[in-house]
Amino acid sequence: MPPRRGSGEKGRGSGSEEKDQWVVVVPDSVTESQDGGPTFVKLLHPKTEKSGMFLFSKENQQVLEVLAFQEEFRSWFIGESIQQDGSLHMVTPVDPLFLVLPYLVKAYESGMYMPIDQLISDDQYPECTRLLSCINTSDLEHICDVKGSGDVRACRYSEERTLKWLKQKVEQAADKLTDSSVKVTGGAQLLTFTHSLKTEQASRDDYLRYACGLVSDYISADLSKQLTQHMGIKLPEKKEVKCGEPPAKKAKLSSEIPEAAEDYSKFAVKDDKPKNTKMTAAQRALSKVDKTGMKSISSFFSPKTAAKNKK
Amino acid sequence: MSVEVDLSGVNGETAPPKLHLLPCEIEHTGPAQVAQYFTPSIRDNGQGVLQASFRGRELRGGTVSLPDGYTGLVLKEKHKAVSDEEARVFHAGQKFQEFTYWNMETPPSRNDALQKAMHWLDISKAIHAPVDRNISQNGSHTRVKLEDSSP
Repeated sequence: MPPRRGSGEKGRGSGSEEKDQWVVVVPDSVTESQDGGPTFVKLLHPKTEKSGMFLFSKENQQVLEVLAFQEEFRSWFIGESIQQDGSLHMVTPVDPLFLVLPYLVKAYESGMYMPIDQLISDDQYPECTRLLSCINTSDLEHICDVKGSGDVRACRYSEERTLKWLKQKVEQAADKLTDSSVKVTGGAQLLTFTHSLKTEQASRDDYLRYACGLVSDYISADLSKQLTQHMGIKLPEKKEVKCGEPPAKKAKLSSEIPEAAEDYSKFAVKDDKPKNTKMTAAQRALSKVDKTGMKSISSFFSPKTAAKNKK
Repeated sequence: MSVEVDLSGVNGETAPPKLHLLPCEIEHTGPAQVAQYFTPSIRDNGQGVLQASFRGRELRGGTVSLPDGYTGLVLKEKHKAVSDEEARVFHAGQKFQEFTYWNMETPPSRNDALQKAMHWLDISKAIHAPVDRNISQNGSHTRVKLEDSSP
């Protein structure tokens, strides 16, 4: 690559400058078409219910999500240049059904069957109509009751079908985690021990729970709760904490992606500790002292007990 | 708002650029003499770990190859859109299949956040691949059954 010199850009690279360069990793399927490239658009993210960045391949055949891997204090050298922003954007295909689900759930309140192109429209995210060409019509049956045939099909969200479909997703993901021996149990691990310990750790339940956490990143908190109940997955208490405040997409990514689900265990541990840390230094010292025969200082100031003692 | 990506600039003929992900933030975006000052310091210690020095600090690093089926691109917005109505276009200039990532002192390992993140490319496939319709109708999963029956 020829060095980009003398382009008059020198000295322009202050931190305040808006980004104009990105390092991305995309599937080959996206780069193969030379005429008419893909398009980045903002869509409603099914979990956060805020906007998320997505990529549509040429002619909207495929929808992909854009995730940023960011660590503090990272920059890129790219050929003969520096890019201050050290994030790596990963673009991976996303099942379009996840993205249409919020619209279907919303329309379900009316109880009516509607054609899919009427269901998926959004003033805030007008680009969502691109999703229509990503979806295989027959796949809608995974999440909807469908009436009619051919061109005139009307859909209505079906909780039963959706949960069944999500369950399969979780199982698919759990299989993959098992195959790629991703560590799903909590805690840090010494590399020296990974080989000897890998096989006996992580039961099928562990993998399912972890996979369920991954799938839950694409559905609403309510649906996630239903899914865990439906599958009989026991999450450590404090699950509500995680549901209550879904982290923004980027926040989640800045930490390690596959690690996210481990928060469950961290929450459980953390909960016990604060009680101890709240004690003052004096209280801690006191707790070590033998207190037999000692009275609480407040008892000396209580008139009733004082009166009784005199008698 | 939508942003188009122009892939016409992707050229397979020129050598791919060398990418290094550094363990520090450099408050500069623009040209730098990487080949003259950084590249010569890179050494391979023979155990798959690379060593380099940057500003007097020793760095340990490794090469990360993108999984099969994935390509790296450097996207650049050549012209800033002046108004909101004007379409934004990113130009895909350089294509890469691997990059080098550097840690401060610790040699690269599977415990690194970056290596874990690379797993995502593979695992996300399992989450987003269409489910098998046949299994859907039975409502059960053969593989699960097998595993459940084992103690």
